[in-house]
Amino acid sequence: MIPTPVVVGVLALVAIAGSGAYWYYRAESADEGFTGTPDDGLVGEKNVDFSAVSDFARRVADAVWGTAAKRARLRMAGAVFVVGAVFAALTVVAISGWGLLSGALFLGGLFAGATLPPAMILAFRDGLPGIVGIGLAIAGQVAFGKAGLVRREDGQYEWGALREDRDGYFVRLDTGDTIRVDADRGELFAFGFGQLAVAEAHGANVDPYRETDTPGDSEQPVEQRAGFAVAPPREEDGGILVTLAKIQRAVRGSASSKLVRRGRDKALDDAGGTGQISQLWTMAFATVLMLVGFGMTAGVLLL
Amino acid sequence: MLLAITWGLVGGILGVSSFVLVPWALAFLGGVEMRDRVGRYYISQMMTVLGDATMTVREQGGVAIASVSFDPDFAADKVTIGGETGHVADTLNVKSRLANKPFGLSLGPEYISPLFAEFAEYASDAKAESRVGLVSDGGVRLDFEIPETPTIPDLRGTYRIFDGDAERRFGTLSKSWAVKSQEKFGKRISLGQTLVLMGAFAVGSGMAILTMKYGTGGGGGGVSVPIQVGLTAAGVGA
Repeated sequence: MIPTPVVVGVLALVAIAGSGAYWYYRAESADEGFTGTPDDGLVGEKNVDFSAVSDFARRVADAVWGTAAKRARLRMAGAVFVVGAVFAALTVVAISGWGLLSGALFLGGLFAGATLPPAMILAFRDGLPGIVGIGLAIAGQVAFGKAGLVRREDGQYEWGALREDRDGYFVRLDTGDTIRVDADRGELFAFGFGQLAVAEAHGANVDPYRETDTPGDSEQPVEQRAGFAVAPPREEDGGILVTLAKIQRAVRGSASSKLVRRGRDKALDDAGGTGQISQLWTMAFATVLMLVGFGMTAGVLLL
Repeated sequence: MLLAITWGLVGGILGVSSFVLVPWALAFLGGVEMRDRVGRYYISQMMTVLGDATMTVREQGGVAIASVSFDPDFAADKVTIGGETGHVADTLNVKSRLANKPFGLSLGPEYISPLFAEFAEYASDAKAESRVGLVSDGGVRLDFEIPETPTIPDLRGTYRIFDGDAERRFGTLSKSWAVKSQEKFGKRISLGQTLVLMGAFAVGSGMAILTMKYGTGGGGGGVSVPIQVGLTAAGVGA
């Protein structure tokens, strides 16, 4: 048996560790200034105001978690430790107060309960209602807080945490690259108790629509389209020059009446035309009925 | 024993709830890297459940997630949003994948991409400021600029570069209306056909009565009378 004070002491330590981690996290969130760029390995080098802490403590802290990568790893390890410690403490309480069997059943139940939802999702993914998926999306958004749904240059979507540094918002991709998003906080969508930025990278995916700046000052038309002289393309604001001609080719036929036609055709296939009995069959039925009438009446009269 | 089982149940409940609570706790405690990992885990699970999904832009400006399934009759994805079923086509060829599952942004009857939304937004601005379109000398300017850094476009405004103005439900509505238009032709038997069949039965019965009345008991009339009656019934002679 473990003495109750030890159990209480463990729980208290867990609470203190959790509070400390939470304080640290809040302190970082409160100041979102960074001194690095995504590429120089100093992303997340924060300017947290440690005035309340002595210089010595700050030097020690810098030595321990001086880089963003170190801090991220330590914080993640701390979070895992805190959550694990809570479950461990509960197991200890069950064993010390109610015996080994209670502790074993608690751990067994914990494991079974924790594996049930993912197992259900894997086993019955097609049978689960859509609301489960929406619930998971909301759970994800709550975890992200601020998220970015970004389309990469290769067309793949990634839904990741929306990070922020002195240059603005960005999303770090699986590949390690980043997609910067030029937006204000008010432009983000409200989705699933969080905020969501929807954006797309500007890279090779823009190439099919690019237009080349025409050198010189001449306004002489470069080509004719539908009888109109096309003015030479001019890059003026330092952005990406694109042309409506190429975009129009891509969107041709969009939101057209195709769906309407297909709906009509499907209805006519299934329920269209005449379903009436043909004239030939009508005459055949009439002959049969006449004979039936003759036979029935004759039979009745003979009885 | 009962208390041990109770602890087992407590463990089970905690375990099930930990599917959400533990990752959230890790996310809140573990910083942005952990938030990213936990959030992506849920998004991956979401796509496993939905299989094939769209994030559609609502008319009110928000977004909604729904699962879709391909409908070969319409050559488009069937989706139900807010209880209304409709179809989303991929004319712009922008439907892609999220967490290795089919996924696309959609607006009305079309899949869209944020890039096309930006095109629509900046082209519209340029048109409003007379930077594209017809110019004073009779020519036309087709080029305009979008920013180097991606922006968050007004997704609802993407309809401005659509070719048509169909809505997501138009296909379903068209089918429904076409089915209704065929209902009259769908009747298997008309009033006239019913009367013909009833008349045939009556004629048969009448012929039997006449035959039984005049065709039996007499010498020689047993053959001629039914023939005469039959001809009369057929309207050939009296």
